[in-house]
Order: sequence, then C-alpha cells, then structure tokens
Amino acid sequence: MNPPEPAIKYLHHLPGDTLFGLSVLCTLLTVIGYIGVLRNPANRAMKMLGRFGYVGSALFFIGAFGYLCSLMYNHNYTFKYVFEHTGNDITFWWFRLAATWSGQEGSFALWGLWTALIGFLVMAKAGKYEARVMPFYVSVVGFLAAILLKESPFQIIPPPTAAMLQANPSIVYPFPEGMGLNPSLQNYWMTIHPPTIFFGFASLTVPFVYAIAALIWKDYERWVARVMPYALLSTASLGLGLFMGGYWAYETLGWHGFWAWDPVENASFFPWLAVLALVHGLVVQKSRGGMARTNVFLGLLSFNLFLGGTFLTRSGVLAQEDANGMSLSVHAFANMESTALKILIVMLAFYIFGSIGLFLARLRSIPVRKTTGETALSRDLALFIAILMMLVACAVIVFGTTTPLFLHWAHKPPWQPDAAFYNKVMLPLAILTSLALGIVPWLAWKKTNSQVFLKKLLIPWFLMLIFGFFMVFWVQQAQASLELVFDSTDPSQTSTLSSWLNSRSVQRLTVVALSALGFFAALSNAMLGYRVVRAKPLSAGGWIAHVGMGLLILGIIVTNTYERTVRLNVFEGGEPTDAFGYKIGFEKMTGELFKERPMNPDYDMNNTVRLRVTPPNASANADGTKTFTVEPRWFVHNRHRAAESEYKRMVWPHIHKFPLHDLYVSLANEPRYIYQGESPNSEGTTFDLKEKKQLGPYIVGYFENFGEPGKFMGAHFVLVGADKKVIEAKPLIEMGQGAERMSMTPRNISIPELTDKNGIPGVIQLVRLDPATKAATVHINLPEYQGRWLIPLEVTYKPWINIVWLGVIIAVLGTLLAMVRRAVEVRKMPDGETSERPKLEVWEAPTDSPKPELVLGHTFAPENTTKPTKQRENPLVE
Amino acid sequence: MKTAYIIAALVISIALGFTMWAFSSAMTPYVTITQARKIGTAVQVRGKIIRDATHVPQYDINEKALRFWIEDANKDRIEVIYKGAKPEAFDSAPETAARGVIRDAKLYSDSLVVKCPSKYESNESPYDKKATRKA
Repeated sequence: MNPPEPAIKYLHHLPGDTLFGLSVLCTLLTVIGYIGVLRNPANRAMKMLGRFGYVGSALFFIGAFGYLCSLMYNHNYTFKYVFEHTGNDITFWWFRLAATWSGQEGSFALWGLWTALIGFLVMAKAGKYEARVMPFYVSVVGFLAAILLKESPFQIIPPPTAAMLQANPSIVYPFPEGMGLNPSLQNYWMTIHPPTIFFGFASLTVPFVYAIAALIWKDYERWVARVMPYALLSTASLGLGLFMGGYWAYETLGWHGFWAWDPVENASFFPWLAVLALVHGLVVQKSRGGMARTNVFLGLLSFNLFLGGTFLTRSGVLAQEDANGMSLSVHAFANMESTALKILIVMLAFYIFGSIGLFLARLRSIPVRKTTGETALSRDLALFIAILMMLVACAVIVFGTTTPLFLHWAHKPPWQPDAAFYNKVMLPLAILTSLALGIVPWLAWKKTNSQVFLKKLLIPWFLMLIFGFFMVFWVQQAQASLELVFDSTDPSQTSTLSSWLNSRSVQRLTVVALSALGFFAALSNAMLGYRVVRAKPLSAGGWIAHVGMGLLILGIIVTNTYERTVRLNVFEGGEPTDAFGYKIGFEKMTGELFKERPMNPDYDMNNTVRLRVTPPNASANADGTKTFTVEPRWFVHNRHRAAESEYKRMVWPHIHKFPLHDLYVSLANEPRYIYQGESPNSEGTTFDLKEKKQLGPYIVGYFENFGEPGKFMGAHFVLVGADKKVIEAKPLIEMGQGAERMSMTPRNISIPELTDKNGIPGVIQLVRLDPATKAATVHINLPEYQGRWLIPLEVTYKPWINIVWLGVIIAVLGTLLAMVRRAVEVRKMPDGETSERPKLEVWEAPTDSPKPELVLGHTFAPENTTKPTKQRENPLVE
Repeated sequence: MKTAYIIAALVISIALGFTMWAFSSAMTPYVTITQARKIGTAVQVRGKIIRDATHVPQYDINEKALRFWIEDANKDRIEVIYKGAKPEAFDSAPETAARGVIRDAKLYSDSLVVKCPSKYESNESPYDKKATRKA
C-alpha cells in the first residue's frame, strides 16, 4: 500500500457511502417496524417506525443518487467512477447527468432510485396490505444500498504518492480530465432508455412482494385487483424501454436492426414476457376466478427472471469469452467487485430460492377453481393459450441466453445461439399469437355461441383475405427487388446462416400468412376497441394494446424479410451512384478537422460525410428541390485519451425517413482519400533519391534524406510551381515506442504556402523511407493537383419500418390506459381488506351503454355461474 | 379442462421440436482452415489477423468489402472477404472469428467476431491511463 499523503483527501467517499449505509440501516428499522405492526396491528408506534424507516431508507438512497449525479455533473474527477465515465467534452447538461448511469454502479443506483420512488406509491396505496408488503419491498432497497456500499461509485482515486510524483512530475491531482463517455451513449435515446427500462424493472418488485404476501397469508384473491395497475405499469414501461433500446440500436449502433437477440436485450425481454403473462392471468382471475396458482407463480417469476437476467449480464458469467477468446456479446460486461457480487448472489438466492420454496410449500393450499377452458371456444381458453405461449417464448429465450452458462458447467467450449435460432423458434409462435389476437375479441368468457362467433369473425376475416391478396402481390414485387440487389458472394444472402427459411416459396407463403394475420389481429381489435371506446373509453386499453401488437407483428415480418442492402462506392466529383433508384452523390466533408488535416483528419463525432441524394421520382421536378442530404459519420472515439490500441471506431448511420420506408445510409468503412496519380490501394508515389517528377503544374524533386536513428526520418523535397516560386518541404516520420509495437507518426505534412481557395493547405506526407535505397514514398496533394474522396457506403432500404414503431407506441398507450382503468378500480374499491363484498355498483353495465350482447356480438350467457361475486364486471369490457 | 391440456401439450411439443431443430441448425462449427476448405457449407474459422506489409487489411473497392488474411493455429492462411459493417474494435483486434462460406479459396464472411484487446471498463489504475499523462 502506498502511504497516504494528506489523509483528508481520503474522506471524499464518506458522504456518499454514509448515505448508502444509512439507507441499509433504515431498511432494518422498516422491517422491525412492520413486523411489530404484523404482531399487533394496533401498535401505532411500530407503524410509524416502519413508515419513517422506509421514508429514511428511500430518501437516503435518493440522496446518494443525487449526490452521485451532482459529482458527475460537476466533473469531479477525484472520484474514480466519475473519472471513468465522463469527460470535459461532455458539456450538454443532460448528457452530463446521463453519464451517471453509464456504468455498472450507476445502473444499480438507477434501479435502486426507481425502487425507492415507487415504494412511496406502494406504501401510500397498499391500505391494509402495507405491513405485509413493505418489509419485503424495502429489503430490495436495502440490498441495493448494500451492494453499492461495497461496490461504491464514490470510490476516490488516491492522490499520487511522492514516488509517483517524482517519477512523473506532470501529474495533476485531482485529474483535470476524465476518460470520456462512450459516444454511443451520447445519444438522446440512450439517455432516456436506461431510466425507462430500469423503471420497468423496479416496478416488477411490486407484483413480487404482493405475491409473496399472498403466499404467506394464504390470501390468493384480494391481491389481484391491487397488483393489476402495477403489473400493467411494468408491462408498459418495460415495453417502452425495450422499444427505446431497439430504436437506439437501430439509430446509433449501426446494427442494422432494432433487435439482435443479444444477451443483454434478452435479459430484459424475458421478464417482460413473464409480466405480460401475469397481466393476462390476472385478467382471468379477476373476471372469472381461477388461475390463482398461476398468477402467484407469475408474480414471483417476473421479478426472479429479472434478477436472474441481472446476474447473467452483470456478474460477468457471460463476460467469459468463448473458446476462441471472443466476447459473446456486443454489450460491455464488467466484472463486479467480489464482495458486491457476493451480496448480489445472496440477494438472488434470498429472493429466488425463498420465493420458490415458499411457493412450493404453499402450492397445495392454493384453491384450484376449474374454470379455464370449459369449451374450446371461450375467452378463458384463449387467454390460457396466450399465457402458455408467452411462457413458452420466455422459456426458449431463457434457454438460449443461458446456453453459454450450461456449456460452461458441462466443460464444453462456450457458444451461444445466434439470432437465426430465436427467429426460427419465434416464427410459429408469432403465427399462433396473431391468430389468437385476432379471434379473442369475438370470444366470450366461458362459452361462445359458435354461430354468432363465426358471423362476427366474417368481416375481419374477409378483410384479412383481401389484405393477404394484396400482400401476395406486394411480396412478389418485394422479392423481385430483392433479387435485383442479390449478391452471390454475400453469405448472408446465399447461405442458410441468417435466413429464416431456406426455400423462397416457403418464405413467401410465411410472410403473406403472418402479415395477413397481423393485420387481422390489428383489425379485429380495432373494431371492438372502437365500440368499447365509444361506450366506455377507459375499458378499451387491452384492445388498443392488441391493435399495437398486431401492427408490430405485421411490421416486423415485412421489414425483416424484405429489407435490402447494397454496398457501393461514392467518389468525390464522380457520377452519383444508384441505390434502389436513389442517386447518391458526394457533396462535402463537414467539420473543422477536415480543414486542418484534410487528408488524414482526426475524425471526431462532429465530422460527417455530406451526401446529396436524388430520390427516384425527382426527375419530374427538375429544379432540384427534391433532393435531400444524408450525413453518415465515422469517427474515432477516445483518440485524445487512449493509446492507439484502445481507439474505438464508431459508425453513426444516417436514417432518412419516408412514410413507408427508411433509407438507412451507413459508412461501410472509413472514408478514403485517393491521391492524384495513385490507385485506391496504393501506398503512395515513390521518388528515388535526387529524382524529379512533373506532377500537374509542379515540378517536385526529392533532394535528400535526413534523420536520427530510432527517433525520426525525413525527406527533403523541393517544389516548383507554375509561378516558378521554390518551396521546400521536409516531411518526416516520427518513431516512438508504443506499448505493443513501434509507432510511426507522420509529421510536418502540410505546406501552408500552397493553400487552395477552400483554405485547405497543400500536403506532402512521408509514408515510407527505404533504409537501403533511400527511396521516399509520399502522398502529395496540392492545389490543382488534388485527389478525391472515396466513400464506401452501405445503403439499406427498410420497408414498413414505421409500422413497427407505430405498433409499439399504440401498444404502450393501450397498456397505460388499461393501467389507469385498473387503478381507478382499486381506488373505487372500498378499503382493500373488505373487497370480498359481492358487488361494485360502479362497474355494473351503465344504462347509457347499448346492449352488451349486441355490441359484443356474442350471446352472453346469463351468469348463473358458481361465482356470482364476479358478475360485477361490465360484460362489455371483459 | 381437457381441451386446455391437449392444446397445452400440443403447443409445448411443437415449440420443443422447433427449439431443438433451430438449436441444432444454429450450430456453426469452429474448424481449422484445412477443414474449412473441405466443407462446402457455412463454417466458422478463427485466426490471427495478419498485419504485415504485404497483408494490410483493406477495404477493397471492387469487392466493396473488407479484405484481410487470417492465420490459424496450424499456420494455415486464408483470405477473408467480409461484407458487413467493420466491427468497432477490428483495427486493434489481434484475432477474429469469421463465419462464412469458402468460394474460390476465399472465405466470404458475413459475420466477424473480434476479440477486444481491452475492455471498456478496465481495472488498471487511473495513473496508467493516457488521460492523466496528457494532463
């Protein structure tokens, strides 16, 4: 250990860590308080202890988060976390804040922050359940605070010791500059995606603690109504978070798609499927009774899956590299501090094994009501199948994501299934799902009159066939366009590697069928949704969400199957190159750095390649107004900070949106400058010693070489222009000892005397100096002797992608509407404990609504069921 | 209830079947270059990216693809033609695993996985980072 210098510096971590510590302490007080309430409900002091304990625990956590934000915002590089996750170039206030959750500690803190905040709502709304749910709820906050206490984001960088200062007197402490924020995170979507998705994760705690309370107190009915709004909130926020992540990946990462089946994506997808299944199970239990066991299980499952996913992605088990040392995911995984990892494992074991054990112990005590699927044609059965499919999809994804883990345990070489695996399995599930989505609006609970059902189904089914007919032609034409850009040397187009279905005709059939079914699903639900909106707007949420899901399925299948990509080269000054009828021509390189170092720019994120695109139908309007520009980027991140081996080359695509498709323009490689008189791959122009060459209007002569072994080598050139002015240039290569290999940096490149009218100086850059012959190889760029830019592009045509986004937005809005409705229901319910009362008058079918039988289109069997208490629901909306 | 169970069994068995099939077909074997030359179908080859004076990884404007050579553990070499977005860490990656098919003695690849020499978050001391040196 280095001897501490000014001891006071070591105390900087104290305020933050103290806050986390106090949060843990208050967690214990909360648990003690509520246990007291459970033993004696009349004990007001204990209740106050519990409540104030929670308020303390949450506020201390929120305070710690706020403190971390302020350190991040103020670029306080004394703190290691701040130093590693931001930099002085992050000036936009929102990015300065968003850097807080760009690292592992920060994302745990974000999870804890939302958990703490949602806890206030839970505490206020839990009614008599408060003492049952809060002790479990607060424990999550406590665990997170404990993890962050160990893996503290408030760790400071120790001041340099005297020895270090002696070795390197230039050290400034605290550091004036940080490591910088990963540029892919410097994006609008990335700043709101983590807060949204972590809100969703945090909200999963609520169904979990209610399910635990239901199990402990053997109360399997009354938690349902209370937990519904939270489950819907989780579904909506996780769905929205997944969508934002997908959009970010599409827009920024250059992954060419919105979903890559990456472990990190999967880890947030399977909890969503579980909570979606829970929502459907709760609907069944609330309207029909039954599914009590399933729902308790699903309530536990969604949170446990999230914990499991967190463990997978955060603990570093997936960070292990495969047999070949290749990282398995594009997401950066970091290994956790070992004590913190242990706390995480304890947390996981506590919740996962605790809840599974409790569930198994109570399994027999949960009443089973045989209500599900009495006949084949019933909404009960449809929901049962829906839940089943969600769980099957969930299981497949969990299986795929954990494959590397099992292989590791089996001592097999690590490997994980690629996107093709998931696509193949999801395809039949998507077909079944859209079929079910399409018919469920026309199904009644319990039993459906099949004649009325078929009659109601007729219109959407018929319209679906018309749409399918249209799709047959559309697909035909799309397939033809696909053939046009077919590249027989591109394995992704020829081999079975990433194609879904090997046979073109099977593929065509599948696309037509699935898109038509997606349309059918959206249409059926829109038809019923429209009627419900008019009768009872609040109750339409579910149907609206289903419309969104139908559109989503339709959009995904079409855009994923018929997106088409071409790779092309655009030359400066050349003819515009054609991509799907769009003529793409070079306009200019933007950004100051291109001016300073025109041929070898220090690409930064503000430099773009501006290309002018003429759309296919622009010829009718010859004034040129129909053209537009696209500005894809290619830049080097961390250039000023990191060693060359740590450079990160980033590609930022440009997306130009049209109503029915996107034009996705991305640089296939870095822009290349081709010097005059050189071929694209040539190394440069070679001069023998004393050689003279006529280059355009100039005579260029290589006069002599100079240098110092191991330090630099240079070549002395003389240039004579048309005006007979003699200019000398001494380009050289500086040699340095890098970490891994020798670095060769060209220096003295520009010739300011020969600056062209655009302000770009002349260039003579030494590439190589043959040690034996002294021949010098150089790149030369002078006014009137200029090269041109070569821009390698990859252009993708994405049909119908807007339908995907539209579907997601509609689905999220529908889910939120459903949440509002369920929340209103809970509020109108007399205090939770007495909700066993038979009727809720509010939800009786109101007089102003039309006859439910006619509206719904199925005979609604008079409810002489075993459960008269459930008659309270408005049949219209159930 | 019976209907429900029958349907459940059906759905689960179909899904299981599909999962098994998709899983087995998703496996692309890792092979040596010699083996890869014999197999006609998609393979995954791992090797060192050769970066010497005559084998500079380059974007080939005619192929519109990244061209480079890899060398496997048996010192076999093969040229890779990669059509796709250049991976972020390619320029600093010592090794890669390329997936693709072999045609005309070249590996036409659509997927490159590179080994990142340094993780974004590293455990090294801040004093070792360039930022502080520069400052």
